[in-house]
Amino acid sequence: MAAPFSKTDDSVVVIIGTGAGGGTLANELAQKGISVVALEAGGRYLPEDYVNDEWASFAQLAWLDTRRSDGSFRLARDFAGLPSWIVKAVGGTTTHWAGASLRFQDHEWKALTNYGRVEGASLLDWPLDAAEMDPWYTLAEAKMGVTRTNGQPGLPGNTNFLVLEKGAKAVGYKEVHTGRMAINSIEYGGRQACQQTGFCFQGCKWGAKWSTAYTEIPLGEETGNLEVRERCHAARIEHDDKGRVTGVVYFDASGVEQRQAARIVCVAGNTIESPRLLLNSASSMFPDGLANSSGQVGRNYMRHVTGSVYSIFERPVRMWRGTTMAGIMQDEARHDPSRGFVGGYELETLSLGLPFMAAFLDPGAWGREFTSAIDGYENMAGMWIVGEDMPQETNRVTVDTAVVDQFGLPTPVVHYDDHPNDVAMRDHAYERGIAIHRAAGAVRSLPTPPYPSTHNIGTNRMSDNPRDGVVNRWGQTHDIPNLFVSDGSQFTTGAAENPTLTIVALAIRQADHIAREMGAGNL
Amino acid sequence: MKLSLPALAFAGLTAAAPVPAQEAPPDAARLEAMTCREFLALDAAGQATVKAAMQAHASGEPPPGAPLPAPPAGGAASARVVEDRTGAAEGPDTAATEMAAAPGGAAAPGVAGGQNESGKVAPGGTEASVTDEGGDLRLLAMRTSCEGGPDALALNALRAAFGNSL
Ligand SMILES: Cc1cc2nc3c(=O)[nH]c(=O)nc-3n(C[C@H](O)[C@H](O)[C@H](O)COP(=O)(O)OP(=O)(O)OC[C@H]3O[C@@H](n4cnc5c(N)ncnc54)[C@H](O)[C@@H]3O)c2cc1C
Ligand code: SF4
Repeated sequence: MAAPFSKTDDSVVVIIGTGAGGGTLANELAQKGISVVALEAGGRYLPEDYVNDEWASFAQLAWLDTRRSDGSFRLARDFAGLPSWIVKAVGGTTTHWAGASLRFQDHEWKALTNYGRVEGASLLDWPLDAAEMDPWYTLAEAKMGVTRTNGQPGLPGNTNFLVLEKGAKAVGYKEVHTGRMAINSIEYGGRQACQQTGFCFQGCKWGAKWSTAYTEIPLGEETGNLEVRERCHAARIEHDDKGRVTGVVYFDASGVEQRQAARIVCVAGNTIESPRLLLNSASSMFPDGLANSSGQVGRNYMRHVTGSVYSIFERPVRMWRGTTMAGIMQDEARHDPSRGFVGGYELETLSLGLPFMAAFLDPGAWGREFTSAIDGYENMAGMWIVGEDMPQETNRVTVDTAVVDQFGLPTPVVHYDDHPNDVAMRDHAYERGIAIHRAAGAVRSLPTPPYPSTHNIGTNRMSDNPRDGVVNRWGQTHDIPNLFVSDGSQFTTGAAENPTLTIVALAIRQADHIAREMGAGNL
Repeated sequence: MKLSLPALAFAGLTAAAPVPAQEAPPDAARLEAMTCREFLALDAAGQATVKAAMQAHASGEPPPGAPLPAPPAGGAASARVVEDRTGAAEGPDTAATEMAAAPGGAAAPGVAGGQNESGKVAPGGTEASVTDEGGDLRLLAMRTSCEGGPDALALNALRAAFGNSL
């Protein structure tokens, strides 16, 4: 039974956002007997509510409040009002995610040490390493039922995977399989196995894909220690004259301003909303925003080096059948500067439905060149590039006080310029991706520009030295001991891997830390 | 926690209980213990035999007549297992790579055996796949499920390959 807590109850932990980070943290704390109020801007949608239709699903779940892109990356031109694809719903973006769940490679925890200084990049070592994260990753993988971990079998490959596999092996790659996916390959955790319906990006109607919406959140609520307040948009975090946070002001489902008192506040609104909230919480004591004495809040926004390669074959592939992203080629994920860039990238199978394909294949394009590509949809195979992009201080989220949202709050502006390392990596990946498809028999290949960012990381980076970042090794802000960051915005650097498994592992670890510190009377 | 989804009405079908050990034929113990590493080390014919035996075992049906193949000479360690970065098992090429080029086809269980748009039943619900793989789609699904996960049970890979239709 979900516990209703009083708004004046200042013993509760308030978590803002219920996605990968916030939803996991909420359940973990609740399981430990800690009272939690989770404020979630979106509504609650469960598998029976999801819509197997790309644009209808996007309209149902995506975050569509006012945002602006800025900078030289192509997205600012193609999708000026949609810099990122993030979900506004209980469960956050774990409703729309594809489930790829990879650990960082060991060297990626220490990017500065291993890559050296890269001009124009603000590389930094994480205050953590692979050995320290290993047990938390193991717990996260077990929680999420990740395939190829803990004895879970892999997902069976669909035709899009068979194309990738055939081409990759033909050009000499070795590490090719159907991935480590938080999608049940067999019944697990009270949820059934994947039915290969191919709508992973629209919310899994079978519940086979892990999402906090129907795993962590109800489990936490069952304890009686977690109350999720849906359609409640956090507007600012308040503090006392000692500089400790005391509560969160939010707009409820009716648009009425409310205040929830708090012992601890954990911000987990995703990489754009979390820094926005800290910046919008500026006060006379913290004129530049909360936890921002370093000036680092909002900086070092990362989105991974992305792009896709779609290729047309002589005969049908029907890539849309089966899981959207269960296929990976990992040989290029290593750090090998002889390729002309630092860091590495993964190539993962990807399929878009026809409606999305028409919008994203070459935004703004028209004419025979474009329509003939769309005509070839049935014979198309696809893959996605996920590579480590360089953190840059100037890639950042700021707030525009002149443009306000429906609550009168300043809106976020996302500035991003590709670093030359990003461009070199993307070009390399396009070339390798095309080579793979050609080796499998492709007759035409279409390198496709990045879509609105699905991997939004950085902006409240973790650092040892308070001068370099916003949070310490526990996600606790350097400036305010009872204020935590619990989502992907903590990332110091991005690594080549899809981020969510790491977000979940960090959230489990953070819950452990918070419980221990509360128990010791330090929080 | 159990999901209260209508879809979960099918859940009981996804992992059919193996025949209890005491009633099981002598091969049952071997089938239940076989890992993906061992499965991938078999040649294509051996994998097909094991798959058929496992399918019968998992469905509670009598075993098909063919005897199970002996483990390959040199044991499972000789299998070339496509391995993830954190693992180690790399060996000479045998079954796994052979299978990649062998008859197969679209593997995903949800699409396998489906009716294609032209109305004829085609392997994997596709026309001839661009991969030129035809043949036993469930076996291909099992092989792709196993690769890169050598320690998983082959029986679970079979379940993954069959989805709800075992
Ligand atoms: C199509 C798609 C596919 C993806 N596939 C993968 C994949 O295969 N593997 C992978 O690792 N990652 C994938 N991702 C990325 C993954 O979904 C995110 O990395 C992850 O969900 C981020 O977790 P988070 O906790 O940072 O934020 P989110 O999960 O986005 O959660 C943030 C939550 O905070 C809420 N919120 C924000 N601001 C406020 C506020 N002011 N008040 C109240 N609530 C607020 C939001 O509504 C949201 O529910 C994918 C993303 C998309 C869109
Ligand atoms: S393919 Fe599998 S994980 Fe994806 S939506 Fe269908 S059942 Fe869910």
